[in-house]
Amino acid sequence: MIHELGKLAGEIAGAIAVVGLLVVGQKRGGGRRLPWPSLAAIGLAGLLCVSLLLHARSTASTLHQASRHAVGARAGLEHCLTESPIGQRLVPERITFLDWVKARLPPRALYGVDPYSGPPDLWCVTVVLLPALPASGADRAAWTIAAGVPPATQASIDDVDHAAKVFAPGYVLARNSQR
Amino acid sequence: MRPVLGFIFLHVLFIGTGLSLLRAFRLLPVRLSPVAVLCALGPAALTGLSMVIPIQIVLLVVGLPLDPLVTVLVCVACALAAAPWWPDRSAGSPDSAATRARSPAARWSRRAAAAVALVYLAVGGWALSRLPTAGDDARIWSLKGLTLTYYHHLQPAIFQNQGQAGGHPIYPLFQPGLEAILFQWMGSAQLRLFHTELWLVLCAGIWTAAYLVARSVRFATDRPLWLAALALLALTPAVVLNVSMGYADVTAAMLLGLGALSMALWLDGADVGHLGLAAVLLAAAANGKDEDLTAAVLVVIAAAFVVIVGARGRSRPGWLRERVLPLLGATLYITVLVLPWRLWTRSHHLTDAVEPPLPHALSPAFILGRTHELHLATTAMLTHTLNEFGWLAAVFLVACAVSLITGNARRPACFYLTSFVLIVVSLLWLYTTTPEPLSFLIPTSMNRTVDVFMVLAALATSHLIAALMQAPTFRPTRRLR
Repeated sequence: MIHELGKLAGEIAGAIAVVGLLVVGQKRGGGRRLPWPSLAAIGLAGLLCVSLLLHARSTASTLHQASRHAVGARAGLEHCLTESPIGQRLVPERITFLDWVKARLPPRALYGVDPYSGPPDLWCVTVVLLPALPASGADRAAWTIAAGVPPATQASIDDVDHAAKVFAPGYVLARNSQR
Repeated sequence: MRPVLGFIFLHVLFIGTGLSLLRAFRLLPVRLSPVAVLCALGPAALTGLSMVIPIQIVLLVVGLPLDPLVTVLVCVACALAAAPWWPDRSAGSPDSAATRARSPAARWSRRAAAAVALVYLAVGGWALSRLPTAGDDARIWSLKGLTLTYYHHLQPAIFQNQGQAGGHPIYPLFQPGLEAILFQWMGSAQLRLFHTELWLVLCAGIWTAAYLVARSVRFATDRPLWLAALALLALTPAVVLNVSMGYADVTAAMLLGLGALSMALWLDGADVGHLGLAAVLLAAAANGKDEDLTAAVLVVIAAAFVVIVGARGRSRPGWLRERVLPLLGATLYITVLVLPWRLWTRSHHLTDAVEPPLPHALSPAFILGRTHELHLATTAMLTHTLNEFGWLAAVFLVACAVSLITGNARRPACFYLTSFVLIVVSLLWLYTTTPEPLSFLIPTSMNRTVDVFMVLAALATSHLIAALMQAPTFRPTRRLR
């Protein structure tokens, strides 16, 4: 913290020095006289202009990078699916699975996610699957999305629940009974 | 075609509403010329959306849908409600301080500056128009915005879920509301384009600051050095990056800074229109992010402090009529537009994960027991402030000092400095007392948190430099002028 406070104090001292130099310079030089607050304003604005020039290149680079990272609408929405710091090797199949689910899920369906283990996190799944919503409170989920189903459970699903749609081993979309 | 037409129509609605409000606030020339309207387009758009969206959030909380029809009704109602306060057209000239240039050189330099600004606005808008929706934007802001776009109501699955938004379910709805209204008018969720909308809001904010300073400070149009602080803000990489990420920090900080600027102009003069605009902008800022709600409250407290200190030597009835009652009215307006969302989140037992344990967090003993956290937070805050905004903090503090010493714009300087210090202290207190581990919180948030007071510092510096530029002489007076 001492280093940062020292830097701030140094910048304040520098700003005061610039103002002081302008005032002294005007006293020694001739010509039209400005009130010293105006001189201070000129000096401070000059410092801001220097900061501005130092920033300009970095900002141009930021905007250039932004234009280079342009994506299509679908990739833009699904970008969060790729952001998980863990389980990156699962990301491609999870993206394909969620695309597959989205194509089959009615637009405003209520769904539950069980079992599920990331990636991606559930809030990213929620935004990608909108306008379908996760069931909450007293709502009953009409659909169940499962990712990471154990093989034994998968076998029983294959045998018993013929309404379930299997994307791949471990990945299931099932319509829940309305009872 | 629908997205383009919807985009244009919505902004025309905001501009129309904003022009009516600015006129009622006496911030437009009495007799409007096309040039004067052109100069006021940015401020009008920002004023319009700052007025309409908080009202729509209140209506949403009480059960009305957030949909295009309600948006039109709110816009029309606000514009018509402002109309009785329009000034008499028969008085005044078509020129205004904002549109008047004193010499051909000044006129051409203004045109050149406007052209450069327009090119920068267009380049930035284009560069940000196809970015992905990432990070907190996807999980907090756009998740809420898209839900409101599709459902028009506060869906329990999203809005009543304590785990939502990374532990921040009480984050207010200004940005999601704007996103939803925009997408509804465009006919589809154009998530990538929303980055451009945020860029336009940022640029409209800088435009509004320039408009307010140019109108209020004599010679400001002829001596445009004060624009350096605004240009620095537009060119700060951290600010541009925040907008490109789709986060709400810069939008809310800009509204807060503009509210403070408008409040300072009211404190410096007596135009109640500036106070009206400040109330509109501060209410919008308080609906932007949690820290901006706290900051908006502190800005009002700082204004009250300056009003109370400035009361000495004035007649009590005049002081009450000109200062106290208008400030109370503005506070009431802000409260009415902020409270419903807060009551709604409380009634659903939603709390923020970073919320300090009250009332223990207010006790000095509790804070003294966390000096390590205070040290970490202070160091991180200073580092980000100095690295991201260059010399701005130092220039702001020196400009305040010069104003206080010389008596030029002393009252605004006192107000800005009080606001700045109060906001910094409140944020340090928050970081020091939060139950969240700072090893997570500081790296993920401090670079954005400093925007709350540094955007305010940039706008304040611009105002103070403009005021000092026209300083007639040394004015040694002890009282707050």
